[in-house]
Amino acid sequence: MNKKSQSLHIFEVLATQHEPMLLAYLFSIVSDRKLAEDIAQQTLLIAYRKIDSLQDPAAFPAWLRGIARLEALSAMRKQSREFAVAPETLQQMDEVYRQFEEQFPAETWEERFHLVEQCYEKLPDTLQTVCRLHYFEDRKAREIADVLALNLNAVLKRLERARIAIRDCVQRQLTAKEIS
Amino acid sequence: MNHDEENLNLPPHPPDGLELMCAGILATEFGRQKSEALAKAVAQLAAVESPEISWRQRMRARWLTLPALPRFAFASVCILIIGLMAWTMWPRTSTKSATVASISGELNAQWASKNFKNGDALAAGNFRLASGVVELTFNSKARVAVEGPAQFKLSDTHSIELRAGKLSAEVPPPAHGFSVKMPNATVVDLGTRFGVNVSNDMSEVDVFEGKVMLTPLGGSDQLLTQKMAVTVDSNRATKPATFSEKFYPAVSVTRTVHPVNCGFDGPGNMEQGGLPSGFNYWSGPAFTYSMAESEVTPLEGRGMMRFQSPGAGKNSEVWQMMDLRPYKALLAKGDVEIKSLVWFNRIRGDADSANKFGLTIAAFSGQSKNIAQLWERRNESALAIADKEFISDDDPATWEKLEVSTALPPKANFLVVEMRAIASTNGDANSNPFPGHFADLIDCTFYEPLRAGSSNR
Repeated sequence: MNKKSQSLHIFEVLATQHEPMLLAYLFSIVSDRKLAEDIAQQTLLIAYRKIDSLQDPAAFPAWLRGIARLEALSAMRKQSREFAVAPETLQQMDEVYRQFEEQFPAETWEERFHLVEQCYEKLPDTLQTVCRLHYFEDRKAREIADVLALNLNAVLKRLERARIAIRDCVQRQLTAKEIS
Repeated sequence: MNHDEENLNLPPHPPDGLELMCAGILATEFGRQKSEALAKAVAQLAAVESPEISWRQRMRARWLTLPALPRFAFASVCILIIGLMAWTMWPRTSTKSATVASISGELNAQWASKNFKNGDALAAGNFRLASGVVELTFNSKARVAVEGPAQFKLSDTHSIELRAGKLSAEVPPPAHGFSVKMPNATVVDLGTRFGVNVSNDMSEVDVFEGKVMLTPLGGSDQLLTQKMAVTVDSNRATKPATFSEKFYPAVSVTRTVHPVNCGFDGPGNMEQGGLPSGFNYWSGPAFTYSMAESEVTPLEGRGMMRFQSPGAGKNSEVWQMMDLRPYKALLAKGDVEIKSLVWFNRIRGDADSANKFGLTIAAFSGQSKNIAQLWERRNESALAIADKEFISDDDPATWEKLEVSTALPPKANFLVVEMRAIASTNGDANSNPFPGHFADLIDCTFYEPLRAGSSNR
């Protein structure tokens, strides 16, 4: 079998495992969903070409995120958009992803993300609804305000409350897992 | 997902790394939303790879040059190998299951043609229910009760088309956005329960709980909220109608009610003594909570309950009282059943060790402060009572479950749950009958079966 296409296949298998994480990471830092998908594609192209430079295969996810970050920065700059995320926050996010990888070494990303889903399910219905409309169905806050007959600020506040509640819950779970 | 909009009018709240991460995970629906990014990247890379003879072509070339071997024999082996290789090498296309929903309950259901049964999976298509009620659970987790005579069409896991008849839908959060299409309008659920009736030229929607969006065909959206009812006629004109929930069939209801500290993982309130004098804590003459011991680990969580001996020859009992008054509305509907389930385990022990466990649930009207007398005569005084015992194995590695259930009458005010380890009758008075007897994960569930609607509003 031709060496290159075999290595492409191996890369595909590896990248498939981490694609959910790559998308989630990019959606966190780039507000435009379409742009995030394009950056993900670009990231994977670059990762394949540079795969030989990766020394430790276990570092693949963190390495992939690094490439994604640089690509996101460059894409935003090209569109003259400001990169809205502070460097310390990016670092924190990297730390948490690393924590997820360490605490759940044998699990897939969907399984790891289940922790977040459990926290989402603990939200009261009013907060779940706005999350669903905004995050799962990609509707803008203004549209949600119309659909739910609320004012825009109320919708934004609910989204914020939901995010904070989920965040706190996930933090507690991670800390508890650490101790156990 | 527009961050710019989100920064409007809010006091500065910079999200930290974890919050940002959660937002991204939400945006992918916990990793479930599929993306084309990798597929596109691979396609792009494969297209520019240096033209090389594909694996298949190379194999064929080699095969053609092989001498002597009967081609047929080799061909079959090769095909087998190619088949295996294909399975491992080529990305498998996922076969989408054809099932859209399955029948999760029925009440005297008579179908017009094919007779479906409880548990059957339904693919997309047209269906005619001559009479009775059927409960459908969609793969999206929405549940619909359809009452015949009715005609409906299934296409995907997020919608149903009702051509005639009535239905009610219960749409939990993961399935929000479930829609019901009627001849004159479409209704989209924004959470959580509503009923739809289609007869002659009139479509009607009643919202039991939550909100829905009603869109008459070619008309503008209307948001309907709890206890609102609206009809849409053949001219797409909408009119308010009299709200009625009982007119519609209702899906079965299962609600789990955890006794407090049902997993015995936290400190919780516990009392050493007799029957409890209040709600929501475990009480008994001889018990304690423990973590994993030498042979037994909790079924779930960090803790489990351990039975101890209250005296020679006596059973070790633990009770909790649960207040049923908050569920009055649910019980008033009649037909509610309550189930309770607990897991027991014991070590091997010896000839004097207890080998039986029991579980009782008893519902009482009257006042909880009279529990002592009521419990004493429970077989006469309880409105409903269910009791079971079993002999457990002596393998500390296995937890065994015991389940009881009974109908729960509307007048029930409170429930008593009792777990017990039963002392053996021929035990030596000086030996401990409960050297290692445990309980974990006790739960109670209310269950209300599928019901038909009433004929008048």
